Amino acid sequence: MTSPGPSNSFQQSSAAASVQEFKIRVPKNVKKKYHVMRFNATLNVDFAKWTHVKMERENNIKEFKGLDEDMPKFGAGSEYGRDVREEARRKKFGIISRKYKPEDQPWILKVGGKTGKKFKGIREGGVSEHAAFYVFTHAADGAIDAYPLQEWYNFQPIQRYKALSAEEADEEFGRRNKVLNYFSLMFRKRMRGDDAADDADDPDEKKLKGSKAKKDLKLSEMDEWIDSDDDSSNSENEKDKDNDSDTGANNKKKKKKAAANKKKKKVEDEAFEESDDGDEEGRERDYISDSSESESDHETKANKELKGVAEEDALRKLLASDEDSEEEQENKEQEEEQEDEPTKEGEERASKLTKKKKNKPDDAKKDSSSELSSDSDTDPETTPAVKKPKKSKSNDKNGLTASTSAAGSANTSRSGTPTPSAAQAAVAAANAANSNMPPAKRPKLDASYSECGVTEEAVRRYLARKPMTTTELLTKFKSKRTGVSSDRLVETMTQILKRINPVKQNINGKMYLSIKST
Amino acid sequence: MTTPTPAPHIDRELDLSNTGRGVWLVKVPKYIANKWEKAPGNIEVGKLKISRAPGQRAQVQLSLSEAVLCLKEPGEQNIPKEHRLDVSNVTRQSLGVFSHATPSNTDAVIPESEKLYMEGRIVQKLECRPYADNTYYKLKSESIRKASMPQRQVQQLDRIVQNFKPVSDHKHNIDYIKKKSAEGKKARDDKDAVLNMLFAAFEKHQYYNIKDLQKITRQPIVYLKEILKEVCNYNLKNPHKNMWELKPEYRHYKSEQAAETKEEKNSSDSD
Repeated sequence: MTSPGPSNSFQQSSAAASVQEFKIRVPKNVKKKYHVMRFNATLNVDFAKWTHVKMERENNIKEFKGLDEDMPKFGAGSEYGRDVREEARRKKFGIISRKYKPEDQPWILKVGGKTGKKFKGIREGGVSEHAAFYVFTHAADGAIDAYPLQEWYNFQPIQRYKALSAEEADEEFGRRNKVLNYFSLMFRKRMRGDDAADDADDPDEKKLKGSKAKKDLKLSEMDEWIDSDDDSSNSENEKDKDNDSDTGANNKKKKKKAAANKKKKKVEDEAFEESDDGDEEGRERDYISDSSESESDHETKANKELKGVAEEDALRKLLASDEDSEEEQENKEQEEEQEDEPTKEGEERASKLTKKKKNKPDDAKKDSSSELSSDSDTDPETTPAVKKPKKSKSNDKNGLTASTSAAGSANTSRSGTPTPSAAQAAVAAANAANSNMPPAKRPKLDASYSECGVTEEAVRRYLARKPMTTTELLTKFKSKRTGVSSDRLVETMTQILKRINPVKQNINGKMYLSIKST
Repeated sequence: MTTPTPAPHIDRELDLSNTGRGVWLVKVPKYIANKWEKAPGNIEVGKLKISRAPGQRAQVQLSLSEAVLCLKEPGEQNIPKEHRLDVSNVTRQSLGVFSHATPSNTDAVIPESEKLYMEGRIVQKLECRPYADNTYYKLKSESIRKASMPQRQVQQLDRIVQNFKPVSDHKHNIDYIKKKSAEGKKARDDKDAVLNMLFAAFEKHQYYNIKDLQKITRQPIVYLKEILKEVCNYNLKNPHKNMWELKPEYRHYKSEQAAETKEEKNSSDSD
């Protein structure tokens, strides 16, 4: 009772025949064992395209044996009867070592020669625990041959690149943090540049200079970052400054509490940062003219948020240098948190109760300063009515800071927005008062280094990273600043080096400079 | 294959002649698999019926042959004859079948090589489902009954079970004493002979425990120690604690091959 027609594949059977019958046999081919190889669909494995496929059992006897097997088996350095003794010792502790079975090792599958993909097939257990699996193939005479499947192997690609070891990964991780810290450096620099040029010049020119100083600080690792980022971050800067000074008076009371809650809050901040869009909007309106990405799409936003933390960091440091107290820093953190809070609150209803205590002083403060901030924002933010006051707030801050800082451009942001309340006016006044203060203190840092792009800070950073010769150091800067004459560069460099006084060491006849990273 | 070394030639190349073939993966209950395992290879064990009605999905049925149904041990339950096969496609993974042919006799003069074949790609999965009829329920209830039976049962004993009787001297003790007495006392051999044995031993390994040396040379331990003190150093510290090694002037391991001849002279002098 074979099938009516010669059918080479199951699909071929014609639609006309309503019932087809196939004989099933189970050939007893003891020599062959059938196994399943399973690939994830994402790997796009197409068996039909395979050529030159090699497969073998992995030989991992070395790993199996362990580490002490590097001892010679005979000759110099070998011990008589070591294996036996080791085995006996293990047995005493109840460890019975298993034999290495080469036929139980995973498969290594190489597709497409040397450069092709490599897979490792690990046996899976439990697949045929409660059921048996057969593979049905067509025999030559139209019957079906059923072969039992023995094992299932899950094939996964082997990565060809080397993963970092724990130490290396640690090092890289540390470097990651450093990258963030570069921003703090940059901001410090920028502020210096700004302030040095401040006061005497009129706003527009200053703006130019500020941006120039910014460019000067460009460093190779983050060129593209800076370009995308510095404008908006600059505006953030300004705003943060405002806020800091704004809440500065109230801070002292809350110090203790803030310190206690700081850790926890910080973590939450990070978690919520991504989804805020309220405060984002406020920031971007600050300088519309020079921000190229006022319609922030989400990717760049996430990116920016990340740096946002660093920037605030930088600002914090900078301001802390004025007051020189740690608690002050914590206060600032607290303030940032407060800024975030309003937008968070929608999501955070659940955890709100726990925070209530902490929020209290904030609320009091906010009420006094302006009712536009957090409390009003507890409403769902999607309504434009809620957003508006926010914008207006940032807006009129701009208007005020414009007198001291850049911002012909600020005027381009909307001027016709409603509600300049009395409270806001008070805040603004405070801002105006405060915004003049910091510059008075900052210029103690010499602006002359920052010319032609060579800054003490940058040099320090290079040297702290790894020892360098002076020529290497110079090329670092030369590559960035093409406009500056090399003589001038060398001159400034020598000045800076004198100032830094790095550790000198001779390696291979060259003098390498370095500084101990603190 | 129990040979640890790659004694039989292993062909690493995967035979790809059947790669393009589509095969079916069929999941069957254990009771069918058991029968199929017992069935000889040349008979028909079942029939696969594919019935198609226009506008509907094809129905696949598996009916076991009488020969298979009759293959049973006394006391075994009947198994259902008809089964439905649920067809499904392979999604989210690509499944292949490969086979591994191991040579039947490794002792042959020209050992057959292990060979790997690609057997095809799994295009469809079929799941064998029994119809819930009387035989199936009987089978299931029987298997449930069996599973619920406790493995161990209480038995009443009518007399004391004595596992072992006291023995005044165990057999292996007697054997050991016999062997020792047959060997007799270890006689002190000629010193040169002992030294030769020692040097031969130290050629193979660098470090020896005194017990091992005693076994190798079969000398009384006191005498052996005397000789060892002459030509060997005793390690008191850890990597090779409590072990003897030759004094540097007697050594000629591979790394010190240059100085080999000289040292040999020295050693013969000291003898």
